[in-house]
Amino acid sequence: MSTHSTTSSNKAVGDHFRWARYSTKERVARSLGYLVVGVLLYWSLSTVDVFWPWVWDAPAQIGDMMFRMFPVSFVQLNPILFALVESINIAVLGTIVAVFMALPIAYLGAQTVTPSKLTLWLARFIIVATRSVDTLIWALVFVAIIGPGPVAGILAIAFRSIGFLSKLLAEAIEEIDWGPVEAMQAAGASRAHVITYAIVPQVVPSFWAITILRWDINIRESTVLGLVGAGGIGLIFQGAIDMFRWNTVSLVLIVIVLVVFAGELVTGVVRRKLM
Amino acid sequence: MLQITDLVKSYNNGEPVLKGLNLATDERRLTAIIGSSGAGKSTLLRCINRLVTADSGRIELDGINILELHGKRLQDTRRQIGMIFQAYNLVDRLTVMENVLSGRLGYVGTLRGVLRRFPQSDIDRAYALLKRVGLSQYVNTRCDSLSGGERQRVGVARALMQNPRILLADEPTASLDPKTSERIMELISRITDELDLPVLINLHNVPQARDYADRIVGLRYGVIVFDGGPQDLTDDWLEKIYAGHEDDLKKQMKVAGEDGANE
Repeated sequence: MSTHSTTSSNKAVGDHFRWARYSTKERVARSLGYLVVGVLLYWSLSTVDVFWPWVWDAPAQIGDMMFRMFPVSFVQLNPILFALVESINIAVLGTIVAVFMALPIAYLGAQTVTPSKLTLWLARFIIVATRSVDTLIWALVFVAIIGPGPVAGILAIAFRSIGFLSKLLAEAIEEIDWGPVEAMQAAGASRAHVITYAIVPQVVPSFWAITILRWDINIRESTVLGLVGAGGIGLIFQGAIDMFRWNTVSLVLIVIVLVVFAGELVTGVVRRKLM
Repeated sequence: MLQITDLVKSYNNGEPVLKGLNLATDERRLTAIIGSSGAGKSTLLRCINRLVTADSGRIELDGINILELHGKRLQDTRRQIGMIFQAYNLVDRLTVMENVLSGRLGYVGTLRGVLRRFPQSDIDRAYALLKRVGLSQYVNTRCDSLSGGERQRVGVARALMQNPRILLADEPTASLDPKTSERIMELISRITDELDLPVLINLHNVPQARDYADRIVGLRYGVIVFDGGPQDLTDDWLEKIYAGHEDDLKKQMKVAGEDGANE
């Protein structure tokens, strides 16, 4: 494209060079591109059926809400902290359950070690399937199956995490140095031995880094699970909104931000230790 | 003991790397295999312990055709064949002891191996071997903190841990500086002599082959063109083995001549 534009627009006319950043053809193409984006924008806005008075009203509503949110009410501090601990525990347990389920899937999903094409595709299917369903949807499913409560939350977090963990772990397995694997095979080691001596030690650092990263994500995700009845701080959050206790809502939000921030600090420290 | 008959191997249906190779090892002898890169030296060794699968032919160890084995029986035969690698192929994040004991995995059950509960006799043997190769002070050191020469010593100890019938060494000194390379060759040659262990060793370095080998096999494009004692390996023969790869040969002769140049 660029060579084309230099030949077409850098013509010498008398003592002057005529120069343009784009050739005529490029200019037309770009204008058409803008037009298409504009049409798409108009079309999407027209289908979502925005009620404009409410949109124009938003600044006033925000002011009103702020007025109702502050000062923060600490009346519900104890139940909020209990629910918070529950949220964190849901994240931790969900991550642990996910890790145990992800390990075999990662092994089957790593091209270099998977026993057959069939197992590879099976693992890939599981990875894609669990990743494409959002945590809240998983939570709805598990609330329907085993009833509301933290167990549904743990399973939702776990199922959402399997794909993520397996995919990254499978990539870590594919990147190992193959030499030790050959050395173990040459010594007559069985498959289980090859895994524990040649593969596991090489993926341990990645394993911890990936698990910590997912745990960090799960802390955030666990805070909203209560919205669909899957336990944790989200339950109090929704209750407070439903009862228009805005000064409690604000406390919940502040606590969530603090926890996420703390999680960030912890993962940062652990990651530095792993390096 | 080890008898190779009509061994053929090609990669991806290309030109065969080994073209009907025949070779029998002698007991208690160090056999060096020399030849330019691409002559099939590595392929030959890796066919013997089935790290690559040969197309046709026979490789018999004490009368058992290795090429026909599967599963448990293959593992049982592999543990009788020790191997030393050019890149050491140690597990960096495991300790020296764990790496040496891993040579014993063909003998211990799955659970014992996984839990690292090796029999006391294996641990004693590992200590003895580490002492013999001069690494007893590093028993619990992780392998990634060792130097190249030390790593290859661990590699030697791991291979001998198998209590093998035969030892294969695939350019064990090619990644090392000349001085360390000499030391490792000396170690391999002495220790296998002590243990009465036959060795098949791929060497890039012709003077080393002359110094340490009892028998030299010259490989050229998958065919054995020379087979004799080191005294028989005249410069004429070398030229035949390395014809078309004279630069390769010159470089290798120089390495030993100057004894300070790097590979």
